[in-house]
Amino acid sequence: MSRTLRLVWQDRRARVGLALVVLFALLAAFASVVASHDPTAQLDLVGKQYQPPSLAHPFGTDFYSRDLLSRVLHGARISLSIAVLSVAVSIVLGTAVGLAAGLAGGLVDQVLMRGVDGALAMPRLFLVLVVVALWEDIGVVGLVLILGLTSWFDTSRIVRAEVLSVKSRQFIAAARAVGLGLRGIVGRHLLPNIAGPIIVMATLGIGQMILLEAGLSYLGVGVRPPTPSWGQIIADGQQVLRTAPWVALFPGLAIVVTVLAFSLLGDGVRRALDPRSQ
Amino acid sequence: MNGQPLLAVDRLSKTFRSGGGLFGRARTIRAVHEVSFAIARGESLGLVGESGSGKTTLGRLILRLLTANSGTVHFDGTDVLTADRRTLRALRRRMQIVFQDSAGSLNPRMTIGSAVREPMTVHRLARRSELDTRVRTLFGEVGLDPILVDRYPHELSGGQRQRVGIARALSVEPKFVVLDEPVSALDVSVQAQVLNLLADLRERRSLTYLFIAHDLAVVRHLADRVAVMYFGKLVEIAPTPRLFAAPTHPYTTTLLAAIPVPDPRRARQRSMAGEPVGRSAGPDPAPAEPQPGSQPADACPFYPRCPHPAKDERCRREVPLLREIGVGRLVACHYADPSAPDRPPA
Amino acid sequence: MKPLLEVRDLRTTFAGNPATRAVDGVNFTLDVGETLAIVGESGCGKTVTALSILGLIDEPGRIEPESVVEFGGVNLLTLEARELRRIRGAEIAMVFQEPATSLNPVLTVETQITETLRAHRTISRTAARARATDLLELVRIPQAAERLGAYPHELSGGMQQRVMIAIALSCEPKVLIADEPTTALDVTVQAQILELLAELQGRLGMAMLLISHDLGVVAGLADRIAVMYGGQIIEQASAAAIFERPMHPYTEALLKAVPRLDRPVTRLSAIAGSVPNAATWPDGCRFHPRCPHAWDRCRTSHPELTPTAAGDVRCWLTDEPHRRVR
Repeated sequence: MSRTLRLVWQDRRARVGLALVVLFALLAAFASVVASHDPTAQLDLVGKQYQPPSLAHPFGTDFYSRDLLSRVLHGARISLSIAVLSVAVSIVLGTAVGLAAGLAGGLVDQVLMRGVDGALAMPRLFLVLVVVALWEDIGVVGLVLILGLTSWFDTSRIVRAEVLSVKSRQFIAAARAVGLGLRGIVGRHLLPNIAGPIIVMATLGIGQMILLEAGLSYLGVGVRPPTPSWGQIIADGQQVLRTAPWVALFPGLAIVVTVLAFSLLGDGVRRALDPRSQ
Repeated sequence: MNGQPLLAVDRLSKTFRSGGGLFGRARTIRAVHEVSFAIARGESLGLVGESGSGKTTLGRLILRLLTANSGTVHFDGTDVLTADRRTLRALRRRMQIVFQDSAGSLNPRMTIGSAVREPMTVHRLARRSELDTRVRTLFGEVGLDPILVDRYPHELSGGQRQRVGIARALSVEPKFVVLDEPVSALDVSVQAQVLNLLADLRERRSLTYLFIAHDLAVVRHLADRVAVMYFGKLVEIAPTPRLFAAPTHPYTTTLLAAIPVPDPRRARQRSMAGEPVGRSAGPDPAPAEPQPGSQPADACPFYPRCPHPAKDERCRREVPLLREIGVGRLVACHYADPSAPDRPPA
Repeated sequence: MKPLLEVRDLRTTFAGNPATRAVDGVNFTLDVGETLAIVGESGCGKTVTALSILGLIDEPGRIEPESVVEFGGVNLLTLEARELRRIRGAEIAMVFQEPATSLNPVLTVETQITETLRAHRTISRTAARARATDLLELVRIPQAAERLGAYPHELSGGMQQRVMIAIALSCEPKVLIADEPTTALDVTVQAQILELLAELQGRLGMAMLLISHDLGVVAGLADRIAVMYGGQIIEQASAAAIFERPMHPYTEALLKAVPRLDRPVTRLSAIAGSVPNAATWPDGCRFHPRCPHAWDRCRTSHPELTPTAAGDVRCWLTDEPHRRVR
């Protein structure tokens, strides 16, 4: 493990990714300290509506004269935690199901994968919307669960395919011949060899989750106002894109940079895990 | 020495289903069909056959890396196929395998040192502090520089990787090793090194080998007896010198005649003398499955390609069984010449 | 008489970190109707040599500009892509190692044979079909007319390789390059294919460049043999001379390392060490780290391919025969 970390650190792009991810995480965690204003405080509804970026308000203000920098910082808290946690739920579930299907084969595999096919056939946004509509007062935990529980299907398919191909490789037979049990084979031989695609799925997932949360918030079923999330802020700004572009611009940039940071980091981790890439 | 063979295989069979799935109709392929043989302690039995003959499957069945459909395998008196989990684990210490594809049989994410260490940790054969020394000793024994312990498989040459495979198999100090085409992926110059190493190790550790290969010339160097397999069945078993001097099954004859000789004069002579270099061997078989409808199920599997002058209706109606035609010689052919085996080896 | 094909100072490199000099100054000629075998172990550059002749080297590979492949009075390496295509498959045809992957799985045998024909000749559909049938008969595929409609997976490995040979022969090439044509096949099938190649060559009078790692395969077919090691030819002589009086220590060792059925079982004499890597050829003679005879000169100075009475050899022993270790 230390070797992997060392290699990640030696990779310049991964280091940039890691630094950005850590920075964003710290900013989100200490948003209340860093932010100059209360993100929900309406400073001056008459005088400070839609102020362009200035020294006092680097990201400008919105319709309710709220400081946008503070809102983006506090929004990071919600957006990042929803994204990271729901991706974690989705990856763990998807990997578990994919492993089970790929390793067990036969009926177990058939049943699991037909189930996944069925789930994949349903439009995801529709699925989420139905649940959200039925579940009033959903909250962050609820959102994480819903996003996570509806997004592991393709991960499980990919993991299953990878398991099938790695399972047939000879070093798995060699490990069995040596007397290794299932746990050792999965942990030492199978998982490390399918880590690459899983990491790629996870990094792509982070971006998707942030955007999905944004979409839900935009539709008014995600995070409830006035709690800020990046999606919320963009939804607000979208209506005034011509007159006050900064409202949507800054949270949008935050999303872009976050997604980029995670994919830089994910790519670095993937490379570090593969001894052939050095 | 003990009179009981170390390994006894009796009427072992394995069929594979291909295709199928939820709605499709599966086809069954007989990969190994009622194969019986035994290997004495310290003996090296060569198992030869072409692709699709079932020789690799047979090796895996013996180690229970694949599940047999029927038949038994006894190792040192223990029934391998019905052994419970604990017995099987103990058996895996004593029966090992070296694979053909040294690149594929090593985990690409694991250093070769850990690959050799792993079996010893699984079987708790050494204390943590001793493990490194043990790994280094094994490296030395198979002719690998101990400096390489922290390298990854892709950083080694094919020959070095095969040595790692051998060291891993030996790490648990087995009695019996299945060598599954251990040199066929290697360059000629390196192949000789590995063959010599295997011969030395066998002597030093008094190992018993099942040496699976498609190359008869290679087998001749390492086997005391040779078993020839064709379409899932054993067609001939004989002591090595006698098999090469006087093959009795028409398939063995064809196989021997087909091996190119690295000598231009002999090669030309052979084709001029009209020796059955191949054409008389008939159409080559489709890999792994008999040509559909080409022959009835109870025909001799070699019937369509058989060049034997005496072949007749009986070969189409009756599967020849393995029968003894000389000391230690078994052949599955109705018309194998019984006088041949008594000829002294040339 | 001018040779049919002449390769001069062929150098093919692959960019990378580090760059590899896969083929590093190869010279040979091929006469009409002759069979030259190029023999060597993995990574010696034999396949890259074959591919370079037809200009089949893709990025990051590059054939160095000073290389010459002269065929019919022109340097193939300076030809426009379109002109080169006219030669590939028609004048110089190639058979590859893996028939299973060389054939397109979704096209019938007929389509694949007539495709080559129609690419190079103006020929009607019916005539192409008739020619395809003839070709399948030529390579001894039974019931040729019926097999035309078959897909590759319906054929065995040997039959697939026969189809590949039929495709290669479709335009009556002057040169057939066969790159390990039997390596993927079983011995009994290999024997049939080798016999077929020998027969076809005699019948059609074409020259053949046979690439192989297997000295046994080469023995029955080749008139001359070039042994490659480290991206270069290290010995070149008639087949008989190579097998009876090998001059280069590598050739000698290689012959001794092959297990043979026509010799008594003895311990094999292995060649120490492993095949070198094209990124880091050893200094001096490229075989010196594995050579039992090597002395200082071999470590520092690179020998040239030197003509002798029996053939060409790249070894300092030709200068100082007393250095040979007995």
